[in-house]
Amino acid sequence: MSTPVDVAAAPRVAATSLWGAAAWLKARSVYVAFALLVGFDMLATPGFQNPFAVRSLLFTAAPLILIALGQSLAIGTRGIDLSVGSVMGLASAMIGLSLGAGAAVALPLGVLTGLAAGALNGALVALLGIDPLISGLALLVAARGLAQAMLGGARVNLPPGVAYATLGRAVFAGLPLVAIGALAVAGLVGFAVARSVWGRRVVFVGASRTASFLAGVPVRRTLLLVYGASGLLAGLAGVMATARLGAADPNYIGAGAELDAIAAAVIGGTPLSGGRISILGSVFGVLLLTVLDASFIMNDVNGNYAQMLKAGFIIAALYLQRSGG
Amino acid sequence: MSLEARAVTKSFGAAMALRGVSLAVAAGEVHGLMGENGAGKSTLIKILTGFHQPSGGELLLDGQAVVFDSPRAAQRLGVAAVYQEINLIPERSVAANVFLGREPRQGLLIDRRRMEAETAAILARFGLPVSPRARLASLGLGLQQMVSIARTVSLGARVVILDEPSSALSGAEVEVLFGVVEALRRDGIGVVFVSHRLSECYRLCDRLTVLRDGRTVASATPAELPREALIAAMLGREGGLGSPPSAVAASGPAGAARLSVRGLHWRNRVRDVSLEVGSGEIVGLAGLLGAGRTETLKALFGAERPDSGTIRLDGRALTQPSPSRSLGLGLGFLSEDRRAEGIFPGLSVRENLTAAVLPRLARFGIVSRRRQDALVSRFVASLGIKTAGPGQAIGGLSGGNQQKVLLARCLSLEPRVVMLDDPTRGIDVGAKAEVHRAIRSLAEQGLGVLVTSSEIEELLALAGRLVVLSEGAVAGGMSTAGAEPETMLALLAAAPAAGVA
Amino acid sequence: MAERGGEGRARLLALLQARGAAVLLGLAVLAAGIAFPNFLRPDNLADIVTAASFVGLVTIGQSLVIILGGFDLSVGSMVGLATVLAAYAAPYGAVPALLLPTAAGIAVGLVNGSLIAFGRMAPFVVTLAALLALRALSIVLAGESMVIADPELFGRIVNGRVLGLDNLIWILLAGIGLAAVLLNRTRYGAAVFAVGGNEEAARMLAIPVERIKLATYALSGGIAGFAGALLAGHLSSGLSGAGTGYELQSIAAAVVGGVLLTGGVGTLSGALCGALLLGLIDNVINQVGTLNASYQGLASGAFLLFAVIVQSGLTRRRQART
Repeated sequence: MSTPVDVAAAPRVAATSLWGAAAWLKARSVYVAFALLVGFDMLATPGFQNPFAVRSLLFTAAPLILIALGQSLAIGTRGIDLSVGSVMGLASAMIGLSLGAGAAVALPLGVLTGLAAGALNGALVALLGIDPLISGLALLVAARGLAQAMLGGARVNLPPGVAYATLGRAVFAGLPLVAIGALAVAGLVGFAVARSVWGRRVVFVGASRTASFLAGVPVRRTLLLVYGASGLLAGLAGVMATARLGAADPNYIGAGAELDAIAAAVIGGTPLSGGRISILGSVFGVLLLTVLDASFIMNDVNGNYAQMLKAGFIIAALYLQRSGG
Repeated sequence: MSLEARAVTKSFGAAMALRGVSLAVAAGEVHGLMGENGAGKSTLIKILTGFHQPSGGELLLDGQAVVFDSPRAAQRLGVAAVYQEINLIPERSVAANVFLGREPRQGLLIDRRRMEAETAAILARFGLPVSPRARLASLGLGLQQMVSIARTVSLGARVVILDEPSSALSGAEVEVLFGVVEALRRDGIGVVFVSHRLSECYRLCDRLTVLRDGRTVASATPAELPREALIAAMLGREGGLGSPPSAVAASGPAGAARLSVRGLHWRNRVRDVSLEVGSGEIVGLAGLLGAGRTETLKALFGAERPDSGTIRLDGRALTQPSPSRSLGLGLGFLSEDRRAEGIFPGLSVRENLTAAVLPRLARFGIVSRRRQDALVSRFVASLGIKTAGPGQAIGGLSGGNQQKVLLARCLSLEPRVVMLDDPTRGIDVGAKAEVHRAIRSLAEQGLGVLVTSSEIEELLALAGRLVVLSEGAVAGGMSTAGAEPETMLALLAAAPAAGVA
Repeated sequence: MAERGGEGRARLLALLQARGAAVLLGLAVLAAGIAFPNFLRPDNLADIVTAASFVGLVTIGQSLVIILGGFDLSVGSMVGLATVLAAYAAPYGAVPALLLPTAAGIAVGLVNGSLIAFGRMAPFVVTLAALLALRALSIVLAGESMVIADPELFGRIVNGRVLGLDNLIWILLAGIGLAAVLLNRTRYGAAVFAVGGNEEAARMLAIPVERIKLATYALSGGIAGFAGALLAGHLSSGLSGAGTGYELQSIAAAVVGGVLLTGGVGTLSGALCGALLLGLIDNVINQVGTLNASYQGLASGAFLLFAVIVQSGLTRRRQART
């Protein structure tokens, strides 16, 4: 049940037995799968070696990375955040609503909207004791509905502007600025999980709620911050996705993204049973799903077939990971 | 119908859980089954109800050898258990619960009127003042349990095993339970009554069987087996008992009290407990299983919210206790349930040891790995924790070393008083001695220590003074200086001070 | 004495939980009747029920699944797929047009149910994946939309009237009635409540938990398929985008109607009231005219959020009394 992933010890274990090798591989399956898929694409997929293709992939991946981070935190506490996709849409709608005040207001407002939604979710979970699955589902419905109402259900194009263009198109050293930003945030969250008091407490709460309580861990405050952070990251992701699209769209932005985020986190080695968080794994989980999408598209698979295949892939992957190993 | 277990043994791998248990329940007999932790009661119950198969010996129903190869087989032959946790559906009606899965039907549809009428008849037979339509959760815990018993009997059980039916019940509810047991007796149903409350067993049972270390060590009528003899059998002291200590004077610490508790109440499990622990003193909290040792410590620590009582730590009142407040004020607690309430499974020794003290090892919210490891290596050295390194997963450690890590977690906050609930439970002899040494050195440093144990010798050896609990209340206190185990047994056997529930 | 008073209050709270939607519905009808002169006209009221009948039917299956302790996010996409399948089958007659989508729904429900019951996967993961996959499948099969070539017979069944009421209303009422009998008067229904109320206990009490789950997801899928077939008849076409958002509206309707998302508690009449309440709000939004149709999502979302919070409070208070 508890495969200790001590990186130093692992190769030794692997060398000693076939069984150990299998466990070693399973713990790293996301990296293996990613490497295999990229290898396949390099050889067989037309146009994959084109740097523009990679760049476009990273533009898509950046917001997903952010919500996968929040999702990893929530799952690490043995919870879940189903609201991330809708909150992205809500942030997008907020931008659309406040375009008149200029990007300097609209963009931060989008992020703050995400934080507010996350704080509400956290309050429901931590203070009212509602099952995160239920509060997240309610928020999923409510945030999407609010987003649609705010913009009257329609897409609002962003005006030309430096801020939107920077977020939506800017490239630095060959990489999209938003991807660099998302990776930086991932590094920050990874550091917080590994080294900060709060980050360790997140893992404690997931590993054993009772033991955490008895060890004086402020369980409620920890949970409140987790869902708040997840909302904040979803807000940021909504801002990025909106800038990339060039429009605020309450229906399209973040639709179905919660499944991608959950799948990325779990495939990346953050089990739904809680108590373990792999930020690097989550990032690679997102990259794996994004490359999978791209592989379908570049091989001229009909987008709808691609979506079915991806749904099947996610179910299969989660089925294999479900025992928590 | 009579049920008999004859010389039953059961081993799990190398471990022998039962080494030869015999138990015979006649029709209409209420048979008390008693024993301390690890005596083998739960294993025996699981064999009687078909969850386990015996490794040796046999089961007989009405004198005929039988094999229960599944719980359903046991049920079909008329043997079923009712557990303390209620396994019913709280939001459904009483009738729906009694008949779940075998509702009377008319065609394909449930005949609700008949179901309610039959339920009413069953309830009346047991004298339960309950409407068949009442939502189960609207009943008290006690009545829910009676509904559970009623369901079991209506399924055709002729021998019913009641596993600690009374431990969560209030006084009035216990009376209802007794009424139900009387009704079972009247109907000729055999009852195996498992309870920690001696006074209940004496009042209710026709016969008492005592298990210890997987063996039947005594089986007799209550008249033949007086309280002292029963306790002696449970604890393995057939030699007899001494006389109760005449002086209960040794009830306070020598110096100023570091921990002082007055009138602590929690539900019906902790009743008016008062005690004091002085500086450098080791006080043992003694009592049979179910006497309220763990509950007292948890209420003190704030893991359960006490209903009333005052707690003072070095003179400062601990109001509205919660674990984090208690820890902050210098009260440490080690749970007896290492697996469920202690360790963080899958995490390293370092994480497990420093979980409580993290904020003090951090600057601006970032934990210093250096200070963390310094703390870990200090405790690894001082407590003799055997680990491959701070990064080793706690699951890879022996029980004794896991316990030492948890003790270190408790001490890492530099507490004034520590409460250790059965700290040597389930660890080997060598580790036990080391834990004892660690506890003594704590006292030498001036801490107050409140400790429990399921072994008398351990308490007598470790503690300077004992506070004896019986059925949730303080039955007395004694000094351990020159005391024999028999003296304490006598105190345990004495009728509980605060009356019977 | 205090205990008796507490019991009375607990009963009141339980009543509020179960019948709150009916009370709200009555108040809303009253308020709308005062505010909009045309609102209480019989044909407007009938229109509301007819328009709500598709979500209403889906809500039946959704309620069963929620009472079972799960939820089914695939029903909206299933409705869309069903309209497309109905369009395919319509040339062969009304019966195939109704049966094919229903059978497909049952098949989808069986897949969902197997993964959840035997694969022990989380319902939201399984049904969310099904949501995406089924929608994509609908588009593959039909593109945007497919016109039903000869809508005559099929359309007459769906859009006809009996005794002055739309057939859809009769179908909805019959569906609710049948499902209520199934839930409250059969062993299957009792088992659904038991599994949702306390799965472990249900297992101990020898309820075939896995089979009950499988059957309930299949039922939910089948009902969604049937509702989709009706919708296709109503629209005279198969729309791959039909039923979008039904999964959320049906959950909102059920929960507003007193079905607890924690499982084990709920009534179908309550769920129906929830669905009608949401339908009524749609209608009012249309009557106001200045409000956009996109407010419908907000209304169901706000109601759901509100209901979840109130229910958690009520549940906690009821538990505190035991």
